[in-house]
Amino acid sequence: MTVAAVSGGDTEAPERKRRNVAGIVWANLALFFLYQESVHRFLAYSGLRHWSTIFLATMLQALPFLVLGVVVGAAISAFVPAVALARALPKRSILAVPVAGLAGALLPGCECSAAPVTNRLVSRGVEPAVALTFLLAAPAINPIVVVATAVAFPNHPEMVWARFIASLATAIIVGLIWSRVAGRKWIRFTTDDHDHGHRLDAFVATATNDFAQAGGFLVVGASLVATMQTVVPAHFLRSLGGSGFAAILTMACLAVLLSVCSEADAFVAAGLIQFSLTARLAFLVVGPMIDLKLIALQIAVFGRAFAARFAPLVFIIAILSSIVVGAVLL
Amino acid sequence: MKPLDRARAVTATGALALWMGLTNAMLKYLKSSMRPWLVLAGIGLVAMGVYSLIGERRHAQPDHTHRTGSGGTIGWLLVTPIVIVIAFGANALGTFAVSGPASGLPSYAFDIAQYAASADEHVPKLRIGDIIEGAPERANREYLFTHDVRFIGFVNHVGYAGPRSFIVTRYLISCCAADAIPLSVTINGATTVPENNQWIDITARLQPVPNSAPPQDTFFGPLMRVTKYKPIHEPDGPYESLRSV
Repeated sequence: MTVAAVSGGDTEAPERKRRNVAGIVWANLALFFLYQESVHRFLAYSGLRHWSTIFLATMLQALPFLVLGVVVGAAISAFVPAVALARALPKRSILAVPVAGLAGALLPGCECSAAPVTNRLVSRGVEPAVALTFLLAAPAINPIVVVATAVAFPNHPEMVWARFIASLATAIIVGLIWSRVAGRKWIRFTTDDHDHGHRLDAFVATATNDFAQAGGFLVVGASLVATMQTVVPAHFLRSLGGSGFAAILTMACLAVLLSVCSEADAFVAAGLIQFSLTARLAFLVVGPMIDLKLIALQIAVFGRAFAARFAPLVFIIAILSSIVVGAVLL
Repeated sequence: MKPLDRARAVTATGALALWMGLTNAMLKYLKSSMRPWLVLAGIGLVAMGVYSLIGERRHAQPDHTHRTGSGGTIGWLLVTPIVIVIAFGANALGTFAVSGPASGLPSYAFDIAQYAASADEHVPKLRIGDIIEGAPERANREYLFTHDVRFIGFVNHVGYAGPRSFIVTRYLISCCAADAIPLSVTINGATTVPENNQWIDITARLQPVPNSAPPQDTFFGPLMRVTKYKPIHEPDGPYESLRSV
């Protein structure tokens, strides 16, 4: 009898544990809400408060774009027949990759929309390399970002062209390399089984699932961004500088660490006047493609094995293409 | 994360976005132009969350979890922003990130004298950005040297500018508070120096920089002599934006 009870408890334990965790989280939330006055006084230390403002600003700024991406992705998954997309794109990837790059201009807004959409494109049969080209190009060459760049660099209109060309080139080159080397390897994507059953149910289930996953990783990314901006003081950034390759590498790394939204990064780059124009170009090309919050999102959507290969590849190609375009145009 | 908890977390995140978007809390983090998008995102999340809550209640099938995917434990992190808002409240950026003079702002095509003539007030209300961006330009500088102007900002003592002096700062944001640039002017000639963090409405006039000016590290932005100031509450929109955008 004892044996039976123990074995029964074993199978139920994980289930009960999970229910307990859920209960603790919701109960704590309610408790916090009731005692918020005293908690505010306790946490009034300005460094922590600064962290909380940067964290929430990054989350709230990304939220509408993430919802847009999740909804578009779920709509593709629930309402677009699996064969339609594959038929719409050119068969050969050498043609399909540039087409996907230019199509990136169609999705306005920040980089946070692109990852969920790309995931659903792949799960609807689009070749990964083609979908990834779209992922890289979308946040860097859309009209909003082009206008923001023009406003931020009024004395250097060539910066707008340089950014457009270098970003598109990076997206296409990475796409072509990926289609040669990787194919469908490493990338993890959600398989759809929504071709049967209720369409609206499938749409909502896909959207909430994608949002919970990507949103969770966005929290990780936003925490890292806030920590970076709190720990590294602004005057340290101003004290950096230099020229040549070191400056370009510094700015590329800064783009990854600061994770400024692609609609605002031109204003940040414009302010870092101690760096050469080519170094600032590298900042603008790398930032929308690969930064802390995007790496977190890419791990969420495509898996670790993917991100470990994709992120360094993009980083290197983006720097090289900035150097080449910078040498010609700037 | 079970579908029921996932639906709750999505609903709660949507409620947070809606609350931010429908009150002025969002202005502490984002530009006001983001408001409709934040509200739309909130409505979308709440609608999706409530739809799946109702669905989960109606047909709680045993295999449901496996069919729709678990969403991973990572989804629990979605409660973090909610916990942080409750723990810290909604706060605008404060004195923590105030630092030296702003550099590399976009060029400025705003005629302060013309604006002052068209405004009703005797003393024109400007932004700190107007003073910082306008001062290097001849016509604007002439105006600022010969007229009092009014602006608001919060007081701080991050850089020491001498006795009876203080610094008035507002942040410039182009997208959200994560890209904020502090814009500061140094005020002298005060009979009483306001407390740290106090927002003030100040009337002051631009001064030529004295030869004995402190080094760049401690000298924050243009130097102005105060005519009068009064303490105010933190405004609903605590940040400045560029005139040119």
